[in-house]
Amino acid sequence: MTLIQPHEKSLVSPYFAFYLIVSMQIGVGILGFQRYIAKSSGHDAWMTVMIAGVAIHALVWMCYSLLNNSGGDLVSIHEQLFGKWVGAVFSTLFFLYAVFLALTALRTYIEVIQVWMFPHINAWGIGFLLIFVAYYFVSGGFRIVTALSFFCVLIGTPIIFLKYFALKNSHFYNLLPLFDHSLMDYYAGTKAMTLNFLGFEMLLMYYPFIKNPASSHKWSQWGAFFTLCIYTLTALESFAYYSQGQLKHTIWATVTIWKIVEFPFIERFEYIGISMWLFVILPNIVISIWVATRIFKRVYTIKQKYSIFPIMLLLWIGCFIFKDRQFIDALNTYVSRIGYYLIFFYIPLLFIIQRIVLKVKGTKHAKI
Amino acid sequence: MRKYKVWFITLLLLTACTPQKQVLEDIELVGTVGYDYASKDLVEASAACPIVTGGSQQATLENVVFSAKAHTSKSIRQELQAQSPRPFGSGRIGVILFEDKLAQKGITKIIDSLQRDPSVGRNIFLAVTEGKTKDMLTKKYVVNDIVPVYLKKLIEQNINLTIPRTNFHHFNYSYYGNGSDPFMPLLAVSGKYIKITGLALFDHSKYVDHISFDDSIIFKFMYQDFRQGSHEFKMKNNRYLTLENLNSKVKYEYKDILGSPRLTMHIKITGKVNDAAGLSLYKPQDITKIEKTIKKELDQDAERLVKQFQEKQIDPLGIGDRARSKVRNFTFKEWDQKYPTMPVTVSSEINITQSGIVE
Amino acid sequence: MFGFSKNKAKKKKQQDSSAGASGGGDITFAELIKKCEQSHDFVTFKKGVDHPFTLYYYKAMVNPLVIHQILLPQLIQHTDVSLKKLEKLLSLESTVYTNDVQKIQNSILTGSIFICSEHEKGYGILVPAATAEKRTISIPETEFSVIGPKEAFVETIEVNMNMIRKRLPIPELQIKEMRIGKLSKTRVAILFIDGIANKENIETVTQRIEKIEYDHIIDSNYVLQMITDKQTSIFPQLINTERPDRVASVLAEGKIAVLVDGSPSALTGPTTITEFFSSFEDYFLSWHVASFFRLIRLFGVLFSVLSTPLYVAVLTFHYEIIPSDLLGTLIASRSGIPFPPIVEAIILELAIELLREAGARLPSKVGQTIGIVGGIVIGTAAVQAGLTSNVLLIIVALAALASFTTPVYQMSNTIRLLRFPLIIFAQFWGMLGVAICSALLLGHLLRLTSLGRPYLEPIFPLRLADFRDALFRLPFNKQTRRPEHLLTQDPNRLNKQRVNKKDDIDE
Repeated sequence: MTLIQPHEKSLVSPYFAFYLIVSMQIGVGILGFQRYIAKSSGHDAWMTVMIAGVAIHALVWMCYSLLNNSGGDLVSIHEQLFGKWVGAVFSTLFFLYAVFLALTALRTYIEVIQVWMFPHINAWGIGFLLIFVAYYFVSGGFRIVTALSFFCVLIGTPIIFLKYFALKNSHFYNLLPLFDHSLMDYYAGTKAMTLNFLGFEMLLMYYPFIKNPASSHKWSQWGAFFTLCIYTLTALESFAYYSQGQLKHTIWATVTIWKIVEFPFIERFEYIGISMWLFVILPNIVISIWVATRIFKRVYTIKQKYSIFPIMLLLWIGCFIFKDRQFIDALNTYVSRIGYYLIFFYIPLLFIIQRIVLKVKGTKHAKI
Repeated sequence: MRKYKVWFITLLLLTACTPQKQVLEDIELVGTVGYDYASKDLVEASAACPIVTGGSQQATLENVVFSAKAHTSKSIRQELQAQSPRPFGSGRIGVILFEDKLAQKGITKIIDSLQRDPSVGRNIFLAVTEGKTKDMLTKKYVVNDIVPVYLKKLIEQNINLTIPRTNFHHFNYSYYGNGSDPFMPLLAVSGKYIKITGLALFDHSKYVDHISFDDSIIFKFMYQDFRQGSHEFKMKNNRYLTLENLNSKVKYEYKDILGSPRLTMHIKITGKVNDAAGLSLYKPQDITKIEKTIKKELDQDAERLVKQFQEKQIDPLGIGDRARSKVRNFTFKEWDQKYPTMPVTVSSEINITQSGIVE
Repeated sequence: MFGFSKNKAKKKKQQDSSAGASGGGDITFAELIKKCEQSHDFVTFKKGVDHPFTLYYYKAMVNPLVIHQILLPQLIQHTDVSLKKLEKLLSLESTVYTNDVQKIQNSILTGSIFICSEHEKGYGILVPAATAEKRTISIPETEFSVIGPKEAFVETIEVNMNMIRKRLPIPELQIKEMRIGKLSKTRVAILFIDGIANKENIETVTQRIEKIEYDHIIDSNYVLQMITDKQTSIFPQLINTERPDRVASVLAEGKIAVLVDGSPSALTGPTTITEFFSSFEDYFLSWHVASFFRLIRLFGVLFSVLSTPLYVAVLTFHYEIIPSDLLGTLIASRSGIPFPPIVEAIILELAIELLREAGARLPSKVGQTIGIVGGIVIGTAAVQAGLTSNVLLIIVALAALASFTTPVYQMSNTIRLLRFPLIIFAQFWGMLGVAICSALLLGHLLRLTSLGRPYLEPIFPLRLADFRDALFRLPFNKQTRRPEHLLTQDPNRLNKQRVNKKDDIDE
């Protein structure tokens, strides 16, 4: 098998793994995930965020173990474990998943824009513009993609401090009593939480682009931890701010919290917040597209600069197809479900198969 | 060359799909909107809009009121639009008023549509008026501000002092949530002023009861921690004394022993006495005496208010919400039965630290 | 289309002209003299008909003193010596005895006198006698500083080199010289400190300068635009400075400087975007003050770029954002104005640009008047006539003012231009448009490099150590190492232990 080593110039330092993980995990989901997780486990749902987050830590570890053992990326793992043809099929499925992840982020962000800022705007128009911006970054190569994720964290993090404004209107007794739900409720909440944590698995593709990749493990774990903290804080804040009944009616709980933010020079923050959120959404789209083109290059040896156009076209067509709330909700649900099975079943499965294969080979060659 | 042509066409395409513009001065900015009862299923809405007259040099704001009747709030908008030279913008609504007669019938529909509108803020005030809102909005007052600004500032500064914290978010919190009922300030026209006359208490979406302005601060002591406001207490021999609140804290002690709940509220007030009306304030035992009297009166007043709520089966203090946080497997069905008869005691602690700058 | 044939025609033309200019590759001496004599300032001089020596030179290029006081006395005394002997007699250095026609041509054109003897056909002595008129050193104008050195570069490369070398009297300061430009044959010097500057950077600069293909190079800004990494970018990627002290200082950091003969400014690089917002005066002030000013400048840039677009976005789409207390003022100032915010903003922005341009083109005294007339009279009149709102007038004026705080002239022009695309995006998509345009701008900045080094450093790639002299300036005892992004051969500026050694109390 041929492992195409990326050019020295496009490698990034290990600590950027932190930003890549965070920027991919935080996206459109954080604007309204509270309602979904509260559906099953009510005011205790913030604990499901933590449970899901801890599981993600384990999965990140598994990914690193997979990648360290194979020395390549997901495509080479597939090839090692399943052979060339079956491996290619699996890689293509992952490609589709990446495209759909990009589409989910894109279309949901457009919906936020349509609902909150410009009700009359065409999805395909603004979609085209956003896809173009994404193209500009992807075509710059992995270094630019990484830089974008770095700026995403830099620009996005200060928005957390806006929670202060909601604090004044919060009832923290809402969070009590603790552990007031059944285990099944927590499980359902954790499952609903997965879509928000999706994205770290893109690591499987950009791993070879990190200098000295094995040493980036701790940074990835810190990244996952940072995301976990942000989601937990947001969930805690929202549950203290909203009554449970009110939360059921609030689709975009985080954006609705921004409504209460008031500065002497800004009366209503949500318009600025949603615009700034572009920088948080872009890495989601950009990294996903980059991963998709990378898979195409690895499996079918099609140059990334060519394969990006059909992918962009797919995304744009997606903007046409997914028109109303029901469709977008369905898109979110399905991608969430696929992602759930991908990270909780497929990655562990790969992990186990690789262990077995390595054992078998190990007994044959005594040393790998 | 072809590349540039493609870019040019794309740009043209993009500019064609831009959002609708809402240029500031081309919008009729609604400052206050009032809803009145018209007939069985007709609602009359009045929108007070600040309008600039006199050009950019000697600009003055004036208040223009549009009003129309319709069945649903969306069609009201259409009816209002029929009178206005510019499209209405709801993004600057600062106060929403409901006529008491309408509020008694329920305001579900109106709240629902306001809630859905993304341009309506959450930092805005809702209030019930005694009498038609239209009259309140169209009347001239001696205050320098136009009516929408006057109303907003009036409620805002009273929330700092006497009436409990309330805005659209808090309303929604209680309205949609279980275990608490919403309340709003109650307004009335009094001569050349608008006056806050108390608090309007709701049973979910219906206005059912009210408390007086004097009682509002007692309510506030029970409802939240705060740092301002003052209240007059009656002492012996028909003497009166004003306690100025410096810091007040409230704690709910909820006990559910064998299915019979019991609640004690602990109110701790640190304050100063400014207007002692001839009472001596420099002897420690006198101060203790005063503190005791105030405590007694406050406890009585507070318990009277809670009793009033229990009788009406409303829960503006959010006792149910707090009870839920103390009990596992809490059900509101059970709670609703127990609430009216639940014993509630108030135990306050008054601490007078200052008495002004003279002895 | 027809683009191809046009290009071809151009190429052919270029070849013709280049052949004409550098012609004489294999002409004889006689032909050369014939060609030169067509110009009236070329002198062929012989002292008497039977005198064996002839002098050839361009009158405009040589110093007459050399002829009067050195050459002629010798030539009159010795009429029958060989050229070799004559060369020894002349009290002049670096004379050359040659028969290379190409060399003769080049030397004559740059101010040498060629002495020929009847007895030695073809051979002659080249006597350097170039005269160059130089301006006296004056104070810096575009990079003026209140305190600190008041010297600026002049148009003569020797003087400029002198000013740098006297600040860095070390043998490691090396100069590579070359001539570029088919017609102008401009002298270009690359300066660097051997042992500090990164070899790769030196190589890059040398290669790029060697590659320059142009007929005339008049100023260092020509070179700047030709060797810059991305010529399509609006951002300057090398610094152009007129301060010799600044050049000496950045050379010591490990950067590379380029001097161009005839240009009163030097280029330095590789550079980062933060350097464009640091004035050299920052190093003369105490570090707290300097850091504060740098942050002010940064804020000024953000304000200058974003204020008008945000005004357009908010007034066109998001009236909800305006604070209640400001709303009345804004509506009042906008009422009665016949244009939408975008037109109003563009008119005012263009008016300010017009004023700036008029002020820059006119003599300084008239320029000041234009500023006052434009700023006060037109501004007030426009507001009173109800053509523009006074709020926007304040914003635009402040934004222009803020853009002038940027110490590097090229960058301050860039900043003023940047707001136009932002205004257009703001008009079409409001706040979101501003965000989208900023994202594109960020993408562009991320792709930029300066001599192959990342432009946005130390922000991306994040190098915390380099922040000590970027957005703010730490005291000198903290500046122990040279900037990391320059990849210097010797990263240490000084001995850290010795500088930061702390004595005990009472010691």
